[in-house]
Amino acid sequence: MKTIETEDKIRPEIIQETWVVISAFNEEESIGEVLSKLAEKGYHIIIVDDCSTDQTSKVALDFPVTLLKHLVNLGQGAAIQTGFDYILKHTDAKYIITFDADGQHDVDDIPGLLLPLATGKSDVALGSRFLRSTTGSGMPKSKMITLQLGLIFTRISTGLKLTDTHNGLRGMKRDVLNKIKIEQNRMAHASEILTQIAQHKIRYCEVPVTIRYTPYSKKKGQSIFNSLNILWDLFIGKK
Amino acid sequence: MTFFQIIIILLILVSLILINRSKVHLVERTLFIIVTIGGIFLVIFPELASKVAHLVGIGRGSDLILYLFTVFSWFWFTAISAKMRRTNSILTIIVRANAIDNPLFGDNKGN
Repeated sequence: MKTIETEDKIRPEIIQETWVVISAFNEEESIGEVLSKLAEKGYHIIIVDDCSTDQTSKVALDFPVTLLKHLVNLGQGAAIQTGFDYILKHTDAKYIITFDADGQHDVDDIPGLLLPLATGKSDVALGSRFLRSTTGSGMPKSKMITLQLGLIFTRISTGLKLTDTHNGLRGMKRDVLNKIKIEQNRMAHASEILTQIAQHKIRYCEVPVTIRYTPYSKKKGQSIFNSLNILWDLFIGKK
Repeated sequence: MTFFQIIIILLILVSLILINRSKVHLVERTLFIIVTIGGIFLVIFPELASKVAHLVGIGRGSDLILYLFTVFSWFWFTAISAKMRRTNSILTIIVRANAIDNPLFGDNKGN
């Protein structure tokens, strides 16, 4: 009900000014459903295929998308930055949403992210799964531990007081793309974005969103061991 | 000279020739050559390592060689890691530019 009310406040022009960036690597199972829902709502979609070896690109091209293909697998962070660069160079987008390809995110949460941007309350809207009581169910324990460690790390390294630091669903105004440059090619980009938000003193807010934990998304998600890789990348600065 | 010493020296010489033929940076190549020649000396004259070890306050020659090997390996690892990061950065720029300059459009998009 809350989502529908928020959606009513978002004018159709805002939808037209919104570009959704999706990084995809071997997502042929889920990408069709994700793109179908986004296209139905009328969002512009940029999908960056990070050198998938399956039919991800073929499935994507059945929908009204702009498809950018990496010739080499670089990682999610690099793919998102490619989408950002394309937006700045070739579109007149005012609002940008980053969205996962594995079906974890809910298209109906996007208006909630756009509202603080469109009303001028914030320049970045970060999705948080912990601000909505219905989410969290089905979350693997290892994931919970990883996210809690991420919160502590972010609090210490950036000073940002957040409830969810590794949520790929976020919205930002176009100007923000001129300030944020993702150099962490792999998964450490989520922390890197937060660090740059803090560095540039960008106005941000958190918005409740729902994360769906399906067997597929759990399979594709981050393991606790991979969080160690993220920390290594952040400290060593590997790109 | 023992058979083992001859084998080691031959292996070192082969690696010396290979590194000299490669397109490695001059500074790195020079350093590698110095270390290699030093290694050959220590293989032929093992007592030399013990003398140097005593001079610098390390008990045994084998300990001195182990310490030098560790330092040299760490330097090499760091240099190669830095080079890999630079190469990856360049690769990212090229791959990204190619993707942005060659967009594909799905149904009803850009056609």
